[in-house]
Amino acid sequence: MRYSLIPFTIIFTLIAGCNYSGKLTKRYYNKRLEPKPIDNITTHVDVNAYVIEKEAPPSFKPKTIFDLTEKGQQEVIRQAGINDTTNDKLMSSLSLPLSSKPSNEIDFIDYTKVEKRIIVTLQNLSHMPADRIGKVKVELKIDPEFKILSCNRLTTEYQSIDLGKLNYSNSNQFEISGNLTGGVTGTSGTTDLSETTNSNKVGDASTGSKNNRTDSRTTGTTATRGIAGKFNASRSFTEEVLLKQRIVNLNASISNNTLTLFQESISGIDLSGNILADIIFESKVDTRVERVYSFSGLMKGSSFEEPKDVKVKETLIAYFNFTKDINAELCYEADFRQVDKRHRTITESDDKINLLYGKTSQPKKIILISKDQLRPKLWILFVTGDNNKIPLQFLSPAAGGKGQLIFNSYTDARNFVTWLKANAAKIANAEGKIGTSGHAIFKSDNRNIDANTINRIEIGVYEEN
Amino acid sequence: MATYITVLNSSVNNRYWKAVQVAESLQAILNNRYYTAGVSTSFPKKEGDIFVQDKQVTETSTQLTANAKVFKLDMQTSDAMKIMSGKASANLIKKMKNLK
Repeated sequence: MRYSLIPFTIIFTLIAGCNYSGKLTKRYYNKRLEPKPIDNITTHVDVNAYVIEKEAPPSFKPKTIFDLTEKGQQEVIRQAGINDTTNDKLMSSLSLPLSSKPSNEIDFIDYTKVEKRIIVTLQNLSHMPADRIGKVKVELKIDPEFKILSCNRLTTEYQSIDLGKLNYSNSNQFEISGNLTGGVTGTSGTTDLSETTNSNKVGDASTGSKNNRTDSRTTGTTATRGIAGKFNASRSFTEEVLLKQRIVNLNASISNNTLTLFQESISGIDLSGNILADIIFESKVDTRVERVYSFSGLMKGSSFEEPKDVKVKETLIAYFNFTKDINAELCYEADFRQVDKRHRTITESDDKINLLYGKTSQPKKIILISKDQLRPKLWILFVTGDNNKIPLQFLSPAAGGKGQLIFNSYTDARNFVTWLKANAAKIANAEGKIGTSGHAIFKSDNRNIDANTINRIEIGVYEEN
Repeated sequence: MATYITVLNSSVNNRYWKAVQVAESLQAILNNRYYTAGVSTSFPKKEGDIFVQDKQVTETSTQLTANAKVFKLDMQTSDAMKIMSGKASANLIKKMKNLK
């Protein structure tokens, strides 16, 4: 290794160590994602809509003396004591409700403005557990005869979802041990061998001196140059990320008699399920009006009241005259997250996905509200044996003629029939007259009623088709 | 003479006719735009009853309009009058006939 690479190695290691690689933060694994339009989203997503009755509001509970403060209770008792001098009357007065809705106030009930709860069901048609609906927009175009007035979902609902905490701990230990051994051994030797020989050249034998010089020089340099670098880096990195995302939980809008609902999801959450929206709509195009009756003062203590003392109350009710159901055209468009690869893992971070989007090719026609749901439940009286169930007739001086005797509640009808049968003879003798305002009851063919007919009266549903 | 009646659309499929208007002539019933809630006459249905035409009627108290159908009943006016007015009217019609 070259010396110059060492710093780069260290830097690279440090950078790699700092790289944040938490996978939970990814929405998908794809490097690039291009939504793919498809012709018909209905193969992946199914949407339906229907209507149910909204829960009835809590009934009005009149206040009693016990709802008042201490001072209020004292004042009520004092005032009651002025009018009622005996103990029995005083106790009776105090037990009465302090307030109640005066029944005379309601003389017209408008059923042409109705509030219904629409349930839009979203269904993921995929059999693969990792596939999900990512976003959906549903449009309900209602019959033009009806006008959507309001929807309780017009305020956009946002939702923050805690995705959880992402704890990221990174511990790096970098150790480099470089031991560089560089040895240079230089051996330089000089061997001088000089021999000097003197010869006696006179004579043949001459003995001279012999000089031999041997010079041996060895230069040895053994240099061990070692860089024993040891870098030991130990670092610990802990990061805690609180993952949150704000999404549009539900958004609704009304335009051109079309109710639009929009919903989007978060990672891992499929939109399959129901969307509930309460809408108010009305129609003044085709409205019928009926006169219904209620009778009060039928009982006096435990005995039945005389016919002349019974009070008759008339109420007009208006409701839809339609002979057809309310239809709606249902259109929707959706984003569908189809997982292509790595759908085995629960986390979506590693999914290779196809993001499909599209809308319905044809609007789906649905019956939003059946015609029976548009009618209030009314009750009539008829005589046993009449297969046509033609209602008994009732003379109303206010209306200026006779018409069918119709009740707005079964309880009213039952109480009246009980009273009527108990007073059958008296009613027949009085030619059906009830009360002092000119009201009278007649047979269904408008003839005077008799005791035998009264005793054969039954309660039936008004206009059952 | 025939009897013409007006029936609100949502009542047409009942077991019986609930007439909010009754007249002896078609012109008379077409000229009448109004009906009063609570005033009606119920006639038994017969096979000879004929649908004539659609019309619109307005309720006198509330001024709300409703779509209706005009039918020609297979019934004599005198019979219809009996049903409409009950026993008392039937007696009256009888008296009137005697006077003639």
